[in-house]
Amino acid sequence: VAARAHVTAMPHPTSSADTGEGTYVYGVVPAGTASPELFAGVEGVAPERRVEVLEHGRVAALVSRVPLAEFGEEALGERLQDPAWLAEKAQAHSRVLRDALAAGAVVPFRFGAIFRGETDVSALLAAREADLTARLRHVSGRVEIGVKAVAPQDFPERVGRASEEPRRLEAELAGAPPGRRYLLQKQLQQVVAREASAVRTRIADESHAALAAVAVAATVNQPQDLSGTGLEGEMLLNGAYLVPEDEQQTLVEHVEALRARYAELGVRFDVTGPWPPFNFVTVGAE
Amino acid sequence: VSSIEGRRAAFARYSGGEPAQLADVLERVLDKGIVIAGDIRIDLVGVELLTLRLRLLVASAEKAKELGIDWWEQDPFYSSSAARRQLEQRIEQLEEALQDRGREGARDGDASPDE
Repeated sequence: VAARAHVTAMPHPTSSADTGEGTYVYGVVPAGTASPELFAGVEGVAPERRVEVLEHGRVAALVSRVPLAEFGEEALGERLQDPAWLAEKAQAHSRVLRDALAAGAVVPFRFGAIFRGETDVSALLAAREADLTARLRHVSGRVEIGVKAVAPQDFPERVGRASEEPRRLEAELAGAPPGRRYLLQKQLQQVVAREASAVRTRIADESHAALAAVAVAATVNQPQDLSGTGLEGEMLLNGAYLVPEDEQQTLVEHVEALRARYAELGVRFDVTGPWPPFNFVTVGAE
Repeated sequence: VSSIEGRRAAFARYSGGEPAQLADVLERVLDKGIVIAGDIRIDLVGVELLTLRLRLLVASAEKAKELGIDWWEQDPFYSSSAARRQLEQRIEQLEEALQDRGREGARDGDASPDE
């Protein structure tokens, strides 16, 4: 709260109200690696505004001018509640950073870093040059690959009856009188669910361990809720792996091995990327 | 530049050239990456973000996710007015529910480094 109050109260000579524009920052790259031509055909977060490269010392920010009518504090508050708007802008943010990744290292910013002008962005670069350089070095020559494991809808039924206890219950059920049947049925359901949950955890842990072993850094994110996405099943693993650019194939081969290993259970593995290292640049991550 | 084009093409191969799933993009773009508001010493360098409030809203989005309200992951996008209405209601409920928590989050997280 202290920082906010201070900022709000602070007068500034280059108020954005003068121009009606702010400066949106996508991320930071090493100076000299990204030329503006790289983004010639790339659409940024604001229509008809180019992606520009703002250098300061050893680092450079990828920026676009944005109209405050759309990206100003008040306007943004409203726009953010429009999922279609947010989806479009988030894709644009991601697109610019993916293109930057093709030219070299990039430290992605989270969506929505909007400054009052280029002067403020330069001040940021000046203040954080050493830190940003260190982060760039950490991710240089490396890319983030996403791997998601998804179990089919009938997964509990497939795996939950394999062990001894559910089999015994099933056998008992077959010859049980009606009153007892109900209880046994309930019991069986619980056992199946418990067994399936254990298998889920095991697959997620083993898969992540296998992939993390070939990665420079690895992290597990919360599995996405697939309901409403048109995709079926249940996500077991939502992992991100930082790998040397020329070793992506190794990771993919490991995914192939996991596919083969769990094919019988119907588990699907989706590979996404290469992504800018979104998951590996946060403060204190290294 | 041609080598960059080549790399771009190579980079598209895992996603089969398709645009990445929206959920994957949003997860990264809204929840990951560097957050500058908490990351710089604003008072020292005189840098002002226009949208400190945005951070709170994005934080709200994260909280919403924690609560299992992944409204942005709905697909296709609100083609029917019914879905749209439903969404608006959910956002209203969400905002109400998060209002107090958001204030707490602001106190806890705003002036300190991210994560």
